[in-house]
Amino acid sequence: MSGAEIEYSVHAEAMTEVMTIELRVAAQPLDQALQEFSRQSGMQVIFFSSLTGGMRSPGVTGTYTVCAALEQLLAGSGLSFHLINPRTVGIRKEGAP
Amino acid sequence: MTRDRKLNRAVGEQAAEAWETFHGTEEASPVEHRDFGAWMVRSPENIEAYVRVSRTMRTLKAAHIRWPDTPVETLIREAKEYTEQVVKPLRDAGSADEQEQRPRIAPVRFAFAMAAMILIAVAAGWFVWMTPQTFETGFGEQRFVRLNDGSGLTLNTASTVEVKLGKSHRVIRLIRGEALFDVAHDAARPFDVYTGQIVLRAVGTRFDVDVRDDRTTVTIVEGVVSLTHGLEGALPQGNTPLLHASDRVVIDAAGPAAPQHGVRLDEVVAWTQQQLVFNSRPLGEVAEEFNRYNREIIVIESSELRSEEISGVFKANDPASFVAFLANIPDVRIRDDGRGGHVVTLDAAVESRP
Repeated sequence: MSGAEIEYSVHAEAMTEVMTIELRVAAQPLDQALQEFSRQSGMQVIFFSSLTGGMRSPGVTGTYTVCAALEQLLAGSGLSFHLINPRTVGIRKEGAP
Repeated sequence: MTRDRKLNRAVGEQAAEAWETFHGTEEASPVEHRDFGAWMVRSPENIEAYVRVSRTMRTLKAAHIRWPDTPVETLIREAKEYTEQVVKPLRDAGSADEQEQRPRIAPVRFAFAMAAMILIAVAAGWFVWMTPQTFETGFGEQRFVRLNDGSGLTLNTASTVEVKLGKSHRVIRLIRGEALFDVAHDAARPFDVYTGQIVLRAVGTRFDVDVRDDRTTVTIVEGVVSLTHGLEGALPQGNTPLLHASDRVVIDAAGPAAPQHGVRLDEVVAWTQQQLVFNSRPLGEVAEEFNRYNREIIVIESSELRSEEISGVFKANDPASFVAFLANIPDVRIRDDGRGGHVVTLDAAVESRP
């Protein structure tokens, strides 16, 4: 593996709000929708499996910023996301620290 | 490789080819019989080579006969029977006047003597005749290899395979590590994968084999594969289980476990994209996955934490992000191990929670 890993110089929040990505994630179980989002956006995603148990996501299709896409994917789930670093999204309960 | 008497390599290859002609999937033609007879009587070396090839091939093909375990007398008897059997079609295929001649008896006797001599020598195995191609990856490295038969081989980190593509048989030995096989369809040439524990046979299919310590994990991505528990050369038996797409079997010292069905394949093949995909995997196993690719070793000491299940998608070469995730979990403490790695613990008060 080369050391060509991309290091974003832009501040994480700014980047995820400005950069838009083309997405086509179908409505499906939430855990799978998040993994599909990861594949299409290139963002890493991680969460405790118990959080998403049995939940479905409405999916997201179109051009979105990372933040807007995640908001849509998580709509109605009672979950929120936070950026662990510029390339990694964590999922947690809404209002959790 | 072996200490027994070296045979001319070209002779060995001719003998191997002859063996394949007579024992492969196709019927040998009368012309081939005649050519073979002419070749056999040309020199004692040819006979020796042929007997050696037939011995080692039969050894490979027989699931339970292995060189060191078989008494020499048995081997001699088999070699004798076998040699006579080989010579017989020559008389059948030849012309009438050839049938009256008996010159080939001498080669038979000679072959018998040769066989006895050979049996004393160290078993060389079929691979005497073919130098294997070896492909290797280092720690954290991956590699795709396109084989001559069109099959594709993707090697994961720290893996070694030996490849032999014969005219009637394709053999891959996965010596260590993990590989994803994309088998080019060729019904006349079975594609066998040996791991030391099992033999997998595929015709045209895609499957992943992961060898770690004393455990082999086989996952079928496409097509059908037969799995035989045993050493190299073991052949599928009547009750050999057939594995289909999304089936997984774990084989340990006790043998193969019952197949799991409906395995998530994205998780299985993600490594070929340098990705780690986890679907409800214990944190301990996730850390071990990262440790397969990176020198930044992550050790999770808390058993409670290790068993917590997570899902997600990561780059295999980005353990730092995984560590950052761990650091965000309440009550988790992370310290450096002094060698560039991380030791992850839970606060003592939390760990002792009932």
